[in-house]
Amino acid sequence: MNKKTKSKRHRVFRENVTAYLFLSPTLIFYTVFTGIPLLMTIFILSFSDFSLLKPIEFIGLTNFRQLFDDPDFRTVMLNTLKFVLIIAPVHIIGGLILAIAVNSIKSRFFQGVYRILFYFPLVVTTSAIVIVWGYLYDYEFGVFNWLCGALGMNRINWLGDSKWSLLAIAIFSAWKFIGNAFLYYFIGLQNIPDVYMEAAKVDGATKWQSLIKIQIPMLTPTIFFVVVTTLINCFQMFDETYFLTKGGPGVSSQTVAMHIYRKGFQEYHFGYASTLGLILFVIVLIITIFMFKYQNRWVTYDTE
Amino acid sequence: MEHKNKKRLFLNYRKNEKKFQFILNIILISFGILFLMPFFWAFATSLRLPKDSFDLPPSFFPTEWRWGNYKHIFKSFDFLQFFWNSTKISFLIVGVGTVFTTMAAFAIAKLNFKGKNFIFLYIISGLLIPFQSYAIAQFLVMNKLSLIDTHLALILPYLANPFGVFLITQNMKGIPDSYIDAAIIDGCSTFRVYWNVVIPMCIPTIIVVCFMKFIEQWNNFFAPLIYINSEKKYTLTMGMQSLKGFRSAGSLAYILAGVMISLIVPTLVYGFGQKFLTKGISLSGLKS
Repeated sequence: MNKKTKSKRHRVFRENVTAYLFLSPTLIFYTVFTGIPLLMTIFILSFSDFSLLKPIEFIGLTNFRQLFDDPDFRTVMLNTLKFVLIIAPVHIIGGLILAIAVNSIKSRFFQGVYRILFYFPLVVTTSAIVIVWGYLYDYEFGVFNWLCGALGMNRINWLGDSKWSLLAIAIFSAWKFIGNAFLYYFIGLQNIPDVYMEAAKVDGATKWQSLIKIQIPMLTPTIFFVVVTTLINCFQMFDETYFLTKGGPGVSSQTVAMHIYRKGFQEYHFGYASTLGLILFVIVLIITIFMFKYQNRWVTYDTE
Repeated sequence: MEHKNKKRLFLNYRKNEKKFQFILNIILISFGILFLMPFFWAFATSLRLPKDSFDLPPSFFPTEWRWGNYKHIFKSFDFLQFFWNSTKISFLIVGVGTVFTTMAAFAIAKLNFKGKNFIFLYIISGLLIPFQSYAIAQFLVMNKLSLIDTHLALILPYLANPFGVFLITQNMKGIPDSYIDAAIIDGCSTFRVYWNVVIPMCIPTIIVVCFMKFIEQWNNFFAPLIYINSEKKYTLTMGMQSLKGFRSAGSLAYILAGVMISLIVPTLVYGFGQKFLTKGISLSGLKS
């Protein structure tokens, strides 16, 4: 008996060692380049003043006080919020509509074509394709303004006018990234067992009824996933604004992520930039916790 | 009589369905073409005579075929160096990183160990943390390790792949334990179980993870922007930014030719990977 428990303990120990050996590469790289930097930001850097040449000096809440003196901080936060409010619904709802439409197509061939088409912009390099979009938005020679002219409207200074630059970036973002939400929804819809849909059809349900009563409820776990990831991605938006407007004119289209880059890597206020990073992290954390907390109100998990 | 009525109803339904399919197809095709417009325009303009680049109305289909523009930009721009840098970095991350990712997923899905829930949550939380929130701190770490302005700075952080761990773990959890028990009874070591039993059953998901990682890294801009200074080490994403410099030298057609060239690799990879996209994600049963 004693021998048996001993050998069992030995086996458990060996399994633990094996498991951690398997985990170790991921854990090491993750901890060194994400875990530790994040903890450093939260507990040390946000309350410090430093740069590459200046050693870390603890300055308490000074960085947080500086937030109120930074005239750009408010604008940047508002911009980010605006982007989230415009872009997230476009992705979340637009992607869903697209997915439902493509899923209703009977022909497998066309389904495949649409799937490939709508995901394609996601694949192409942002820094390259944005050059194309820059010219599409060009004031004098751009296709968008040529269209405006053809429709009898005045030319719009898409990227140079703070009234329009947010919209211009939002259009680009929708074009570039809607395929992501679309693909997840589409896969979710494809995975709903045919029996449910057949049963509804036999019972005389219309397309609309089976959409509302079966497909959407069964898709809620996917919708939840898409909503969470889209919100997080919107909060860390960087590439689009950096390339299209450089955050301008002025800071009128700058996002939090870009502000961190500017303060940290262009103006070398490392401490203050870390504080901005902490704020970005806290916002995302609150949203995530909130989403997970209230998910059981509307997300139905399939119990097999 | 009744039978006839039913038949008519059925035929009516079939006819309506056909109409519905037709209209939906028209809408989706128009939408798809709208999606591709920027590419059409860029391609058509890249083949125009450089001095006609800005002519309006814009052309969406090539009216002339000046492939010389492509030759010109290829000669006057260091594409090959940038291509090589991006390819090297992306392939190293995908190759090495995916092995690490499957190992971690295997441990979480199929092995028993202390602190499993914590470890899983710890790795998965990487999905939710914005990179910019700890970019400064990571920069300090890189500086401590003397990795600034090296390609290793662009590779090492991405060898851990939380999203990949998540997807592959979900897939592996679906593999019945009986397969694994059978292999163990046959005398397989844990490593053999991982490599010869579990991995072959997850290939579609692994391909999806490789694909997404490749695209993500091929397009990564923020990390090279903060870590790379010397132009020789630029990735293609950064190189594209200096392509804009050609604007002053004259011609949009050349720049767009450069853009089109830069799209070749992702397009090829997509062409290969897209088949697996739906299958691989389905297998992992995306349920958060």
